[in-house]
Amino acid sequence: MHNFFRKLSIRARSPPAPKKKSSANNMLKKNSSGLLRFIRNNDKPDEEPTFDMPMHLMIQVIDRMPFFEQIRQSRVCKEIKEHIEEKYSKIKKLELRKRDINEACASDDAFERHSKAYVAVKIEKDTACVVIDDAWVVADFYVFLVNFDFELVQKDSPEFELSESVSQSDFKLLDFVRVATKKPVITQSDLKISEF
Amino acid sequence: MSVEPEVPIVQVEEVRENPVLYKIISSDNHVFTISEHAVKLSKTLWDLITNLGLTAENALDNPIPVENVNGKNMETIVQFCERHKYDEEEPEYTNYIREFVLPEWDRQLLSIDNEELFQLILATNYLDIQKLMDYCCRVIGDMAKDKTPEELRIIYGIPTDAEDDALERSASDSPGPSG
Repeated sequence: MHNFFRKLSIRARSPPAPKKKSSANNMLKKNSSGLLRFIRNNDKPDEEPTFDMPMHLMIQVIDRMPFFEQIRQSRVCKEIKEHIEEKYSKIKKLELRKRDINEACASDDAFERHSKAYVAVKIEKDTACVVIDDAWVVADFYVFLVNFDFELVQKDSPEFELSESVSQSDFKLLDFVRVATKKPVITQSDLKISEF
Repeated sequence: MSVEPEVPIVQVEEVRENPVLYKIISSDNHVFTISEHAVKLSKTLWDLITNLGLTAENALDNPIPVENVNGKNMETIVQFCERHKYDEEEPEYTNYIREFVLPEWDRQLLSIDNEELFQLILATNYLDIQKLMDYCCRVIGDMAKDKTPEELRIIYGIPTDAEDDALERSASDSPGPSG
């Protein structure tokens, strides 16, 4: 059974996510020498912070970051974590699509792609549209079966297709995304999830 | 053969240009002139102008003092507002992802020292200029992208949850004004 799932999984052979143009970043780095110098200056841990950013402004900055970056930065502190969780708790509908992720992202700029996992997200009003790559296989879908009350719709055997519209009062987008961006490791006895 | 009637060419900009100008004085006493369309981008300034009852006739005689913003930041803000005064109205701010491309002109304007950028974001927040706030936050967000949460905590002077709890505890343990 273990080998069966491994053979099915072609994710390891999937091409890496294309790098976005980073001309803006390059230009900013030139102008952020103080910031970089501060980061690199490990010998002076007691140095004053570069900015004494009020929390409400910090939250505004984080709100304008890409979706996956917001989730990552929610670890900065309790206030930011609570803000992010509260903000996304309002999203109660999920549209889950399995398709070629490169194609999906190319066809709609609103999709934001995770840097490592083959997952892209688009949020519109109270709905999160999540695209998972064609490379996802049966084993990957079991993660959802274990963690969420979704139904798999078998369309063309032997491939499974998942195209579900979910609306649950207890649906938590952040939990869903955390699971979706973790790689499932199938063992003979059980299903475990480990981070990339 | 038809002859084209001689019609004076009027530049679109001239037609749209509003003659009403306002004077703003920064905290370090620099005086700036800003057009009515441009000043409307700042909710704070426009509320002030409305409340003071400034009109086309008395606007230039009554400069508006802005104590929280220095001349350098005010210059950037005035340039920004004049540049974007005819832009389409921004949709109401929602804190969900609102993707946009930072225009090259604005990128150049905001290619400033980190400290200046930080001061500008404070000024923008005070003057309540949504578009400039979006752009400043985008620039700061781009800088923060590759940083770990721990690095961000240091850069922005945010205490860890443990430090925060300790501060709260010490504040509640310390005796009040009555002793």
